[in-house]
Amino acid sequence: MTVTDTQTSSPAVVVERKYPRWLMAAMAVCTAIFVVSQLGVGLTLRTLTYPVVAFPMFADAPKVEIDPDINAVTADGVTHHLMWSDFGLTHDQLNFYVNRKIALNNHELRMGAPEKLKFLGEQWAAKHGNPTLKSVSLSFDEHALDGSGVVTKVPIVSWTATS
Amino acid sequence: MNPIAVWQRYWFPAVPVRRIAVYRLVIAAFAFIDVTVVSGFISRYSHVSQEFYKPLYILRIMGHHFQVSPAVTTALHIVLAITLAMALIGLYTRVALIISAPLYLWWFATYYSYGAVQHGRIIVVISLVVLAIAPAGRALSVDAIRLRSRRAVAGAALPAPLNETDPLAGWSMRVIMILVVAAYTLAAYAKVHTSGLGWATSGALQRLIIEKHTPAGMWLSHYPEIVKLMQVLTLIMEGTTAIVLFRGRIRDLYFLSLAMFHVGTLVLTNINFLGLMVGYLAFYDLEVGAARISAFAGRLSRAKPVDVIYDSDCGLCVRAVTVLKSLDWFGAISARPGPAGIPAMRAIYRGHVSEGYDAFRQVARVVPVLWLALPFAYLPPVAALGHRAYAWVAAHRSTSGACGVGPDAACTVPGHDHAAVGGSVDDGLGGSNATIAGRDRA
Repeated sequence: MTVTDTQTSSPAVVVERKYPRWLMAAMAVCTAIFVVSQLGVGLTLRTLTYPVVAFPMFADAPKVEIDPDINAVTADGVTHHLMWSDFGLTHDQLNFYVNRKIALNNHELRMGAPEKLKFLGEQWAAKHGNPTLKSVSLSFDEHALDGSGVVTKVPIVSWTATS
Repeated sequence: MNPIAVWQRYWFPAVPVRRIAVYRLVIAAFAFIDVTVVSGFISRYSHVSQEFYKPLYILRIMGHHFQVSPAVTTALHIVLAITLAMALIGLYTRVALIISAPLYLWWFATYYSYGAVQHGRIIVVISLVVLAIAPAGRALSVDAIRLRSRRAVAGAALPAPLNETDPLAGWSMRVIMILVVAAYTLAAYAKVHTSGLGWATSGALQRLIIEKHTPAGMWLSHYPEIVKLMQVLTLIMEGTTAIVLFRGRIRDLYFLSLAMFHVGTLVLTNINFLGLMVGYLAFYDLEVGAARISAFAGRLSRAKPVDVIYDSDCGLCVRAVTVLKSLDWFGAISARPGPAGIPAMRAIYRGHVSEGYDAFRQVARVVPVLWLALPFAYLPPVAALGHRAYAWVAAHRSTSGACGVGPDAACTVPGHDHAAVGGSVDDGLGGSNATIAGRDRA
């Protein structure tokens, strides 16, 4: 075999890949369903427990910001501030739990709120040598939004040991 | 005008496969770094009390009403990291993406099941899904290199890289484009729907800034009028994001503004929307950008290419050089067939000639993709083994057009014959140009 002037690579040629018509039709229908469902979920604001593409953050506009403040008093009379990290959560996640299980930002209490505070106290105690708890309380730090920086502490609910 | 045809034309434009290959590299790298470095802490949530767990709807329909055990969480985390790494390098790309997409969704859905749902990462999840459907592994991947090397035939020219366009590649980018626009537009819609246009001048952003309590945010919270101005701009920008669907400077300007908006969001509220921002790439001709970067890097190095001379009658040698050319994104190698019976591959660089295993090491020094492996190649035991292995393969290779090692291996491809004229190498991404002097071989 004799070869002359061998080139090292054949030139690249642009090739358009083709698919069967039925496949493209199916893709078109699926795309339409997906887009419509995404838009539907977004337009009906059902985005809280459905990870659709949209981020309607800060959609409400209350006059004050509320930050939960949870404190536990042990048998020796010492007050302990319970942190989000005591539960393995983030700051936002603990706030979310408080709003979901204990009290809404408008101070409305959830059913069984004191027991949930007791649960939080026990979770905290389990990580700190199981001291006896006398009480666990929740208050909200309400921040003024007018730029003044004023913070007001508002007691919400507490749990107290019976004995 | 037929609306179905218009729909098809919009959603399925044939775009270069390299575009989605570059997008795959970015998305897989983002997700890999995310699950291994940034959000690795999510694996610890399997130890958090079930009381805090409120599974998202998407997990409930998948049957995840309860937390996954720590052992299973660890196992799934490892599988997720491995499959994302495979998607990144393009090894069994489609399989890797099919596995990693739902696992990445599960990973973040688990995190969100302990608190408020955020949506910043969903673009990455959907990107992984559409890339699994589209042929994202047919360029810039191990799969593409294997495909190309399989086309390598002894005695013939090195096969050119696949340079394909694909309607599903265009579809995948269109889906991301529409979802990026929908994310912003629906965010504006949600604000106006809930609070009316008065949202723009309400204390909503001030509230969020105080809630997140970052140093920069707390400083800014003392200037509520500035915060309200930022709110007005946010609403206008989100509500008009559809403009980015048009090409041109206005799109660039918009994305720049949105990027600055998200930098502000990160600094003031510690909310990270990087997962959404990577979706901006779907709007651009990434293959063109990659080629420019590659050409720029090639110019920057100012180095002459390594001249690789190989035995074109040896199928294994042709395949090996094809693989090296596939990895040579910056045009650092020029390859040409050597005289018949050349005992080993040669690499000539600045007048210095290396042969065999040393030639491979010389090539590895100029191909950035191989730099990670280079130190190992110089370790004495590896080098000794490499020299012996090369010598054995060279002595046992077939030089009669075979594809592999051994006298019986045969390899023919119908219609694939020797090229008859000198030419240049176009290796995509700013590939090298090597003109070959004519010569005769028997």
